[in-house]
Amino acid sequence: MPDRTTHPEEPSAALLRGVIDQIDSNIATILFDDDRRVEWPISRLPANAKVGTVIRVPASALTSAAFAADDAGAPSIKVDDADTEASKQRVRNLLDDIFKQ
Amino acid sequence: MTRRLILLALTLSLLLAGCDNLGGQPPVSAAGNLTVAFLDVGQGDATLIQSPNGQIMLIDGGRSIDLASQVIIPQLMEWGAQQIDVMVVTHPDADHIAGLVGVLEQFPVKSVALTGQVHPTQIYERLLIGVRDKGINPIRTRTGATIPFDSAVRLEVLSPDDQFVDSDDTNDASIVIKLTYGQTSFLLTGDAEFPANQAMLRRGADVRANVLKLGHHGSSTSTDENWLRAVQPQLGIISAGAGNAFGHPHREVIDALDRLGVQYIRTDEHGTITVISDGAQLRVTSAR
Repeated sequence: MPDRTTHPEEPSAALLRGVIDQIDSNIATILFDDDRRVEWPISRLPANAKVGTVIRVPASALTSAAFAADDAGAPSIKVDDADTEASKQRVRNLLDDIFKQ
Repeated sequence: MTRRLILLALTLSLLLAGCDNLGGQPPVSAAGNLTVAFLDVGQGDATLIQSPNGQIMLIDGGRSIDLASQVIIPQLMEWGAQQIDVMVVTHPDADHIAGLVGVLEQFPVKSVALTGQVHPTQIYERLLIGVRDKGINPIRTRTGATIPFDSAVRLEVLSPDDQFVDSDDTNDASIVIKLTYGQTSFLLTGDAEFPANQAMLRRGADVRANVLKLGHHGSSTSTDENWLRAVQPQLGIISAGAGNAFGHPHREVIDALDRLGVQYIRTDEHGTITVISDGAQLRVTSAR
C-alpha cells in the first residue's frame, strides 16, 4: 500500500514535496510523497536545509541525467518553512494523542 | 585471517573468562536462552530478541514496509511467537522504522517504546497513526526508563536524554539499550553517534558489553578506538546493506576493530546474524 498523506497545499504538480530524513557522510536521504527515496550530496541542497526540512523539488531533478547536468541544482530546490512547521505540528499532535492514551 | 575463518564456519563460542567485571547480573533462568537476531534488512537495522522465558522484543524494522512480511514476520513465525511484547523505535529515521509500519499492520504488538521525537516524515506519521489507532501501550523512553521485559534479563536504557530528543538530530536521540543475561551482555545503540556516546560516558554509564551492535551501520561518526575501549566488546555486529551510498561500514571503523582485535561480523556479508546466550557463553550463527 502506498505511503501517502494528503497535502492540499501542494502548489504545483511540477514541484515534488520531499522531507530530508537523514544526512550522513554528506549524503542526504530525501523521502518524497510518492514513496521515492533519493540520496543526494548535500551540496545540491539549499544551505538552510537540514534533517527534518520539507523541500520542494522540480520533478526534473529526479531524473538523474537532468540533475547530473545541473550540478548547481540547489537554486531550483527550495526549503518550505511553512510546510516544515505544519508537518512537525501534525507529528506533535499525534504524539500528544499517543501519550495521553 | 583465522578470525574470519572462524566466523565463516558460522559457529563461534566466546568463552567469557575474565568477564566477571560485569557485576550484579540477574540470575540465569533455567527456562532457556536469550536469542538476539540481527536481521538482514539491507541498509538499515532490525533486531529481534527472544528472552529466556519466551518474551519478544523487536528493535527497529528496516527501511521498507515490505521487510515486515519478507523478513521480520517469518522470523517471528519460526520462533513460534504469538505477539511482540515490546516494539522499540530507536529513532524516527526511515531505515529503522518503515518495517515497523508493516509489522504493526500484520502482527500483534503489546507495547511500544519510543522517545516521542518530532520528525516530519510521512512514514513516521504512519507509524504513529498505527500506534495510536491500535491503542498500543506507549512507553516514553529516556535514559533510565523502565521497559517491562522478561525479568530473567536486565534491560537498561542508557540513552537518550531530553537534550537529544528535543533537537532535530535524530541519530543522537536513539534509544540505547543494554541487555544483560547472566555473564553476557549486549549493547544495542541504534544510530547513536559520538555526542550521545560521550553523554553516556560522562554520566558514568556502564557501557561494557560482550556484543556491540555498532552505531549507525558502522559509521565513523559513531565508532572509534576510544568508544571501543570503553565498551570492550568481544564481538561487533555491523548491520549495513551491500553497496550502500554512505560507504557503511566506514574503513576507519573496520581499521579500529582490527587494531583492537575485536571480532566483527556484517549482515551485508553474512545475512541475518543470530547470537544465542545461555548466560555464560555466546554462540553465533549466520545465514550465510
